[in-house]
Amino acid sequence: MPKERIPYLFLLTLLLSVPFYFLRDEMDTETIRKNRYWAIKTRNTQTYDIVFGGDSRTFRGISPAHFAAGLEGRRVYNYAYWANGFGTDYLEGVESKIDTTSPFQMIILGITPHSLTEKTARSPHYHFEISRARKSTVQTVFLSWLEEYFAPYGIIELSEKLTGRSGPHNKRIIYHDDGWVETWWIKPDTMNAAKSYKNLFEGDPVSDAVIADLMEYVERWTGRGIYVVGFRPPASYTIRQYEELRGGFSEPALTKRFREAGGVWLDVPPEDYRTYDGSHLEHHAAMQFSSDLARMIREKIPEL
Amino acid sequence: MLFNSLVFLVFAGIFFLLLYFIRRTKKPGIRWAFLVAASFVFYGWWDWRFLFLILASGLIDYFGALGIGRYPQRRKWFLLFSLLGNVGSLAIFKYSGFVAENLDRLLGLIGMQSHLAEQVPPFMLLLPVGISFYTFQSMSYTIDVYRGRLKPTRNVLHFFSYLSLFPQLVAGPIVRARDLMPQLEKLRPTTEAERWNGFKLIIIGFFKKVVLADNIAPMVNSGFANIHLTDNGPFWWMMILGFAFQIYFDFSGYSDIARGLAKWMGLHFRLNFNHPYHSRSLREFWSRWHISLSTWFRDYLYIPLGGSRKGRWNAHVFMWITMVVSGLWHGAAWTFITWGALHALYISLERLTRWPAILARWRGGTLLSILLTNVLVLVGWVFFRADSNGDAFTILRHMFTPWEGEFAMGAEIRNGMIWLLVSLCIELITYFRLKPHLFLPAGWQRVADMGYVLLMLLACIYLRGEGNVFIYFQF
Repeated sequence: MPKERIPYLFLLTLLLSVPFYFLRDEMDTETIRKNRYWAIKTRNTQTYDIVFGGDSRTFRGISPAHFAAGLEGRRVYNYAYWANGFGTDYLEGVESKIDTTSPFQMIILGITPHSLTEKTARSPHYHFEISRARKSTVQTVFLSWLEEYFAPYGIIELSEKLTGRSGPHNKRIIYHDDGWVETWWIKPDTMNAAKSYKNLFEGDPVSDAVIADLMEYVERWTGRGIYVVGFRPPASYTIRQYEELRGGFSEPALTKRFREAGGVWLDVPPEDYRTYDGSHLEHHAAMQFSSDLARMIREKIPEL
Repeated sequence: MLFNSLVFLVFAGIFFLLLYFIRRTKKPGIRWAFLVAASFVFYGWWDWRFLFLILASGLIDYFGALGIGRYPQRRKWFLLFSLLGNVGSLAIFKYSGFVAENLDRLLGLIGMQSHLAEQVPPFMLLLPVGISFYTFQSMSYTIDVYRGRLKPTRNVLHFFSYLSLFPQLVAGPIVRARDLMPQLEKLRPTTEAERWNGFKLIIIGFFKKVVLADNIAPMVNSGFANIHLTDNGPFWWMMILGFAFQIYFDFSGYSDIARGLAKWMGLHFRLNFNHPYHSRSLREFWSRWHISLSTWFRDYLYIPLGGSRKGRWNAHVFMWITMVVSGLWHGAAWTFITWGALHALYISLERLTRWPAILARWRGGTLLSILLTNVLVLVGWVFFRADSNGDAFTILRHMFTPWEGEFAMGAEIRNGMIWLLVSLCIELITYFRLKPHLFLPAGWQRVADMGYVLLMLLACIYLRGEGNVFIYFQF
């Protein structure tokens, strides 16, 4: 028995931590990686040539790497937030991500009807991340590897793992530093999102005031020489029906106002891309959609 | 800074590394300055502005005690100055909102409209962490000097190293100056056995907090979040039993960590919890629960009021005052006052009927006493945990109307129940003093001891619940 027991105890604990680490499915520590992703996204001080803005349909549906694959030297970033809307604070945030010294500047907005409501225009998630204490952000960014290695299990979860009764997680998520959240489900359920969309617009339909604010920014940006591109992220037929019938969204009307404000609107074929829940693109579809989007923009803006 | 945070582990690592070198210095001033600086970093991590409050509170007592020592004929005035300073800061930061709100209500009853609660400045509604603990600790210093039981220190760093010492600063135990200040004069080197025992205490404390309390907490919180969820009696007994264990493990865990850290510093803090749920009477419960606070109230309120020296009837009155003030110490809310009054009622009835002594004569009476004491304590916890007295009575009604209503066994409840069962087993093992490792050969006892700590350490890492702040921080 060693004279000083504490160092040996720590050594033993470290050794025993190895099997615990390998017992873990990558998705068990998803929350830690998610927190790190949002902390990096919000505290990132870099600026870019092309910035994507929008909500979860944009951060899951657009891979900046695939978008920029055919574009030489363009720095692209996905600055979309969860359940986000186009309020003025967020639009200022998007603008701040643009490199004003770049000879080519572009803002691409993934506009869902939900991002045009009064509630989402307050951008609660964006503001939450912005206001997170700097101390906790530092810990989240720099020590998340430690948190991940020593992440806890629930007692029921651990017993299921040890007895081999737990199956793999259905949801798979990879967080990319360029802002893309690569997502897919092992067993997709294209009617899943419809449940939440059913009542999503109750008392909070698409707002004309939010659209007017957005158009002001589009006009301001295009006036400054920034290319502004808009598109409606693809979704299933059911979701689009809910958006139009319950949300009061009219794509032709929005397109018209967007173009009048100086923006370039892309008509995206909604049925060509696979979703995992009816609302969000699964990862292969997102990669394909990102490349297709670059091609579609180049057709309209050859300088890209 | 929370004990159960990564930043504290880094802080503690740096602190003990530096202490290793600083301990050797012959100049106590350097040691005290180091302890004060480290403690201020620990406390200021939450909000550095509240450091001024500790400084102000401490300086009042430091100078108050010096005044008592220097001008004995005016010592009453210096004591009054110190008490007013401490009670005043508590009144401002802890009770002003509560008092204003109740005055508004009272004036409303007699038809007068007042808006005192709205006029309380926002800074007075911010409860500085640990204010009740350090003001009591500070007050005990001046009172002990006044009573001639302690000589005032002339060194302000010595005083602040006592008052702000980080292990017990925010949630106790409330350490008496006459216990701690002499220890701080010379930090003695620690032995391996002391370091090991300190480490064991720290791990036990973490196990109680992050494994037991934090895993039970989601179940209790889900129940109390909606008291109309179900009126199923067993469900509410389970909730309140869960809370009883949650608060016990949360708070005694903090005390264990504090005592363990103190051991590593070469200091000794007295026991703060001694298995209170093993008590056979309410009187015994209060000699086992939050001992440092109970004895503080006994020595600085109950006995000065007259204790049991002024007749039976007065002893009841003084005990009621002490218990109600103790309830109010826990928080500025009627629920805490009711909780204190309820315990006073229990103790009064116990003194009058002597039921624990009567039960003890019967066969199986001890177990019955324990059961009855715990039922009474559980009823008390309902008031402690509920958002209002009205909510508490609703829950009590649910508890005593069994077999009505259903509830869903969600993941939080299933998980909480498992940990509740583990907690019950731990308490039973300690009650029956089952120590199987004592039957091992001498050499193997150390191995078993190490294995036991290793298991708890692994549980702290891999079975910890979602990190919550310690419950007693709000007091």
